[in-house]
Amino acid sequence: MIGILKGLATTFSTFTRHPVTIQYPDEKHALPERQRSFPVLTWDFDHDEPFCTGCNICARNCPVDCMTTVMHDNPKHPEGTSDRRKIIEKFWIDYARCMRCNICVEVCPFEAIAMDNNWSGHEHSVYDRRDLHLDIEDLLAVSKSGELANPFRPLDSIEANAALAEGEDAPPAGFQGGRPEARAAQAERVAQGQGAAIQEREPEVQEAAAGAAAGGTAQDDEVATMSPRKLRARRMKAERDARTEQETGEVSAETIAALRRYASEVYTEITGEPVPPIGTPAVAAAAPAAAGTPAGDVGDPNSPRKLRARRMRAERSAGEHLERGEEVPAETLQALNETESELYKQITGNDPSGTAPAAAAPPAAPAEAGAQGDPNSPRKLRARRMKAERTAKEHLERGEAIPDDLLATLAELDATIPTAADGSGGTDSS
Amino acid sequence: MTFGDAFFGLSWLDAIIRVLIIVGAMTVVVVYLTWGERKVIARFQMRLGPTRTGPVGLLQGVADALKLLSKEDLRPRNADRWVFEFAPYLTFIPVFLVLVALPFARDWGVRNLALGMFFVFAVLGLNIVGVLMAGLGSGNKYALLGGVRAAAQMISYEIPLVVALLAVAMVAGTLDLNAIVLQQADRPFVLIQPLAFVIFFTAMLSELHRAPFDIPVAESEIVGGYFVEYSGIRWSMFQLAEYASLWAFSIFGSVVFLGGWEFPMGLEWGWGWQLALTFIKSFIIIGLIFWVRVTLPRLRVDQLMSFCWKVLIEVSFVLLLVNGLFLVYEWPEELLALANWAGTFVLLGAVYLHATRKPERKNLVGSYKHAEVPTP
Amino acid sequence: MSVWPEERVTPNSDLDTVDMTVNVGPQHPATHGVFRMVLTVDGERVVDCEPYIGYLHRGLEKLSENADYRQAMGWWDRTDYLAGMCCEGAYVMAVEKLAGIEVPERAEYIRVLMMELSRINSHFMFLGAFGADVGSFGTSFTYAWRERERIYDLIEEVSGDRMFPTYFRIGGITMDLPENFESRCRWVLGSIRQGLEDLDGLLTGNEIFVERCQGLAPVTPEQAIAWGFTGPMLRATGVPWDIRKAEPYSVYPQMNFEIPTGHQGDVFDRFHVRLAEVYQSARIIEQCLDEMPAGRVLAPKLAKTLRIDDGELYMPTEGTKGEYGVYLMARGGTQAYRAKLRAPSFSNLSPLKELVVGTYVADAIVILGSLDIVLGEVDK
Repeated sequence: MIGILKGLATTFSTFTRHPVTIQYPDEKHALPERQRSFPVLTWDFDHDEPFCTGCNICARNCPVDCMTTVMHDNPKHPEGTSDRRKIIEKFWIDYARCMRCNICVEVCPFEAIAMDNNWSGHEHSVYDRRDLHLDIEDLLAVSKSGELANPFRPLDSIEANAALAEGEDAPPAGFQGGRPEARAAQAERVAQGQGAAIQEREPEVQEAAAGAAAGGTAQDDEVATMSPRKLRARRMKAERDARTEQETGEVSAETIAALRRYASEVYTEITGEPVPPIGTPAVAAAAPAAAGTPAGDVGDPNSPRKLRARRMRAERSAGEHLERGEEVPAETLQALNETESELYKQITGNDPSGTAPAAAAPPAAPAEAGAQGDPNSPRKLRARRMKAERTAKEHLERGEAIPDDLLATLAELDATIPTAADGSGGTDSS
Repeated sequence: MTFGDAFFGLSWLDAIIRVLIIVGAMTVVVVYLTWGERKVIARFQMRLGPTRTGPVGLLQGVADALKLLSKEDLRPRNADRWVFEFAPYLTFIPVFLVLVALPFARDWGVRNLALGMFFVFAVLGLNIVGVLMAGLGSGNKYALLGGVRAAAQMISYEIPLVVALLAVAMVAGTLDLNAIVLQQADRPFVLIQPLAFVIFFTAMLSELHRAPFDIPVAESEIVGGYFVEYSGIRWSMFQLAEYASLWAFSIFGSVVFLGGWEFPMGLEWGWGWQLALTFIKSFIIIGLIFWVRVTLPRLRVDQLMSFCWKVLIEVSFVLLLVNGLFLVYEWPEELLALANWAGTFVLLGAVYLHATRKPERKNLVGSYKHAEVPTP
Repeated sequence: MSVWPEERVTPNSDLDTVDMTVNVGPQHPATHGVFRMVLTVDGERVVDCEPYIGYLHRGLEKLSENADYRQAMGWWDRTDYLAGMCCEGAYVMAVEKLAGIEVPERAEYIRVLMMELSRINSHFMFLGAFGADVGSFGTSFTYAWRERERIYDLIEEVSGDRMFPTYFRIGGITMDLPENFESRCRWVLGSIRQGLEDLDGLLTGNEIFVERCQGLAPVTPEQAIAWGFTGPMLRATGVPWDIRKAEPYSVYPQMNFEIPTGHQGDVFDRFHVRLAEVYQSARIIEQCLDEMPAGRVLAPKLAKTLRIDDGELYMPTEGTKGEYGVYLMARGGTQAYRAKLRAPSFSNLSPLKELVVGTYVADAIVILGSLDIVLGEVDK
């Protein structure tokens, strides 16, 4: 009986104590600083853009693959309001998959993602599971609105602890750019009539207004640094567009400009004008485009980094040719020349001139270097010859006579004209 | 208003009006007992009870009633139709009959029966019939299991209940409930017959299927027991019956043991105070029932039955015999009280010793803290 | 109703009785998690018991083979979800031992502190739920939960999350303790003592409780060892086997604590052993707080992504339910070749039939509760 009475006494004592219930939506217990609910992206108030550059480190390290990112070139970079060349374009996190392990926050090199340590981070109940798949605007909303007042960076704690162990001062806390102080500073800048973002450096000068008005757009300048494959792809797209438009009516000016830009033969067909060389701006007759550094979407094509990239590309392709025992094609040699590559000296024995493409001496071949290189290069001639021979043979196999124009081509290319009994193709004669 | 004055002089109309008043009071009390139980138990468990339905959750009973009303009325195909349908009513009617016989204030009840206590015993038996009908008529083996267990429990515990109350009736010399109350003007019977009170309380808990004797309705095992197949209104009739019988038994207990409407100053201060006393005392007993429910674990059915047949019945018969001896030889009442208190301690001590009978369990509380074990 | 197994007639009885099948199904207030038990009862006595598991299988071991060591830790938390950090500790210690990484001392102390807090958490869950199984209508539940909430708040302050902290990392811990941790921890320990007294007063001496539990399903030490019992189940039979003392790891050799044991391995003894272990865990936590050294919490010069060369290792630890063992096999690379969990609840649950047959239905529920299983471990 004593035990029963003791039990009764215990329950009586709890009867007299205050209930420990916290009435949830009305009262909420204070969340600690380290609270992890769900990841959100941080907003850089100093530069009025997200911190995230889309490097994908978080997505790669996520155990449950809940994130998807797409990056693009940062439009603020040429404006001079940001140092980031690439910035995030699209970002999705599936909160239904996220297991809130904090790994993404730990590995992010830019302090771009943080765990939402507010109550709103926990209140994500939805009726449809697909609504838990948040896109970048939702992810940025918490930080932009200032609600993410005190994001916690786990590595801060580790670094502080390591510093203390070494006897040094603790490093400053992380997430500086996303804190309320930065937000307040931005509000002040806006209130004082300045831009929302700090101007880091002078904006890169854009092309002359006349050039812009006459249609010389950034795309024209981009062409100079485009790879051959890309140029070919663009040209084929322009040609395709032109054909479609031709069927329905007239070809638009945009398409004509594109055809011109990418040195398409169709341009000659449509307008009757010869195709200018690649890289020539639309208003070649007017001011030379080399007046100011053409600042395109990708910046100065002659910047040291771009030159270096071009040189390395040229060296690489030259190296491949040499390995295969072939001759280095002319355009590669030209690139090596322009970018002052040492390989040029090795191959040709001459010092590279390092001149800009606009001032390059026209090559000996009569045709300008097009997107595909010199049409009369040995390789091209050989290819054309072999094609002609092959076609002639097909005709013969079908029992037809070789057409005259094909005969003319064969003659021009010094090909052996196959006969019906001849089973072999032409020999390499160069 | 006395028993003598019939309403409007018509006895049948008077009966109907009194019954309606009792029914009204019972409904309100039962609805608020459900709320009260949840609130009180919550406070014992250091939490709040219902808080959102109405201020402080007062409308919780109403909300429950509305919910139950709107549920689908199921009847299983295997169920014996009429048995299934009448069982809830048969569980409820005896409770109501008990209420009819109880005095709420001096000469105020529905009817004052000269054999009041006997009448109460008689109608209690009908409860068992209702439970058995529910178990059998559901066509469900779990309901059958629960119903049979419940019936066995109720039948067994009726015996000590009746015998203990008879012992008190012997001391009072009458079965008339009003007369019993009048005899407690100086001291309530609990002071001179505590053993009878303990037996009555334990047996009452068992009749009501409340903890620690709630094995028929054990949620964590056979979910629901004998009313597992009932839904909606029919289930609510069972619950109504349970809470109404809780209230009825509490009033009965307060009338017989705690002095009813009379004990301190009832006669002097009029019928308002008398009504208040009745309610307060019944709520004290109800509170005690809730307290016990919240604290004690459940007894297994064989332990329950063995406790009844091996302990309670013996003690209650001994009580009856001792009371008889004292009354025949007209020994002083104080000696009777003393004997009774001694008996109470003997009973409680026996329970304690029974529980601690294993010799290893010398010191239950705290012995484990010092379990010394040689580390390898 | 063809779902049930064949109804059997009990042989050798004068009455023509038929055994009933009671399905204590996956959704049931008494089974601790999604667990199904099909009892065949003859009247009130249980004649046969068939447990069904696998409702919570999530492919932990396979997932661990396809994630590197840091990523996999988040899943190991979720095995014994009542005591998150004990599981993390076992896994992380296994990886560190295999990789030969040494953990700074402060990190070891913090780990032991958090593991013992998790152990208290799990034992409180048992105490609360066991009271509810025995029938005390949830009072023990709310008392236990009051303390668990306080422990969870403490864990939240330290790691950021309550149940699945992912606090440990290979080489140490993710972040150092916050500033006022020590005072908060001592306050919580005081509250835990108060909660234990409440539960003690409510249940331990209670005659009805003793009647229900004493002598129920006793287990001899030989039987226990043969069945593979570990943890409180084994200690309740009288065998003083605790891996923290027998094969110590981390800083347990420096801690003073005792191993409570029982007498006859019945349900009552198991309850007592777990109740006493909470006191011992509180002792360990206090010693950790008193002796915590300053210093690093993460081993310096760790590789960004850990690669472990060929090797295999079995790391036994004293989990809350018994021996929580991690078997790890690495064959170069950043991912484990095989990671196996030796779950104590699985072994403790296996002889359920032996324990339950011959008792009453109500007792079957109580015995299941006394095993203190957590389905996350059983099903992995």
